[in-house]
Amino acid sequence: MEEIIQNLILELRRGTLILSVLSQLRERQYGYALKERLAEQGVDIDQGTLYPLLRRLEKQGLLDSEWDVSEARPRRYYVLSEQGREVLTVMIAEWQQLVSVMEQVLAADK
Amino acid sequence: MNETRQERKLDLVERYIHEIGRRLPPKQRADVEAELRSLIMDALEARSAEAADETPEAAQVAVLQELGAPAEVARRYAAAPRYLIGPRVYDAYRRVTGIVLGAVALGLTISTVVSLWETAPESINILAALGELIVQYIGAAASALGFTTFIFAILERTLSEKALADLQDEEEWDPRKLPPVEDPNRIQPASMIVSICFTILALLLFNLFADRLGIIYTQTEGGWKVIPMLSPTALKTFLPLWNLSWVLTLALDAAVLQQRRWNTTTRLLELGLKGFTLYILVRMLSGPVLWKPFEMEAIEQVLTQVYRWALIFGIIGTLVEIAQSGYRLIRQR
Repeated sequence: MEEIIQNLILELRRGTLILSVLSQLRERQYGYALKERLAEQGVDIDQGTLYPLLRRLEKQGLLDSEWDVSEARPRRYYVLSEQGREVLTVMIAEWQQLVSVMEQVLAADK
Repeated sequence: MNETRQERKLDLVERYIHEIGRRLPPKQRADVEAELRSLIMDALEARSAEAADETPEAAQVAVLQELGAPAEVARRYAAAPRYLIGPRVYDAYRRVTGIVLGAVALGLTISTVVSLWETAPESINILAALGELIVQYIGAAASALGFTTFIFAILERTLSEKALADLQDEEEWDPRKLPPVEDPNRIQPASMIVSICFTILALLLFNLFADRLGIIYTQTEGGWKVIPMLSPTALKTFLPLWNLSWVLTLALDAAVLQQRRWNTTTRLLELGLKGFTLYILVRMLSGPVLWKPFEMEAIEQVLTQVYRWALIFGIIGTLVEIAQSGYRLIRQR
């Protein structure tokens, strides 16, 4: 049963992962800092998952990225693209809708 | 760029990055490797700020393990799950494979027969030819399967989204056209094709190579020799009947295969054919035995008994089949 619960929790988290990542990229960030920022807010995400995710989101056109060589170490910064901002807005609305629906559904079950 | 002493000893990190990099498509590789290197450095820096007494190696090990196994991480960089033949193409692959294997079987049977036809009669050995047919089939089927798989693997990687969508709903299905649940009229193409092959073989064996059928033994000169066993009188009596039955069976099987299922007409024809088989069996029961008589009375008697009993069982079996088919047909009305 423990395993089933873990799997379900994983599924639940997986659904919100991309949204939480996108929501933090209104300003440009690099991978490690983003991970820290998410962790500070309670979103624990593996680095091994986050970094490839950023690449995929960029490939899908939701993020823009560029190398910044001005500092001691070159870093790749990501930020929401024009399209990404629109998508984020839609997704947030979608999320809020979902939350209110779920509240109803779960309340009805009591 | 500021290079600390630590960064020069980062063999572990470099190994790790290399392991991921070699699993990535070449276009991405250099960029991802550079990014990972920078990110790992960030992690190491953050770590050394907190746990200053950790050895560099221990720190690297910890950071790299937190990132995860190279194969895992590399997999996540891939755009889509990597399949040899993916789910959307798989159904088509199965269908084509079935057709290909059937075609190979048919083709090989025909070519074996043709080559037998062209061989000098003395050097024909039926058993060996049959064995060789099977061996050849295995080889040919394996290579046909290989080619089919290879082509579909390419299709998986090159088909555009639109083409894949077309593949999926190529038949606009209508719920009313689905066959009934217990559909006894469904055919199994594979077994039909096997049956067709065997019928062709029987036709050719008994018509062209009847004098080769018998006991096979080797002579000291190194050639195969056959003692023909079939009695010519029996053959003359029964061969026309067998031929008719086989040819009709072939025609019926081909028709059913082409229509992809049985229908009432073909079922009736099948029933008729079974009746004809029954007639042949009864004729054989009352007719001459199939083999040339043995000199030894005792053996001849025993064999004849066995033969007749086998025929009787065959007759009973066919009667049962006819009854079953008839019953099914009546029920379906």
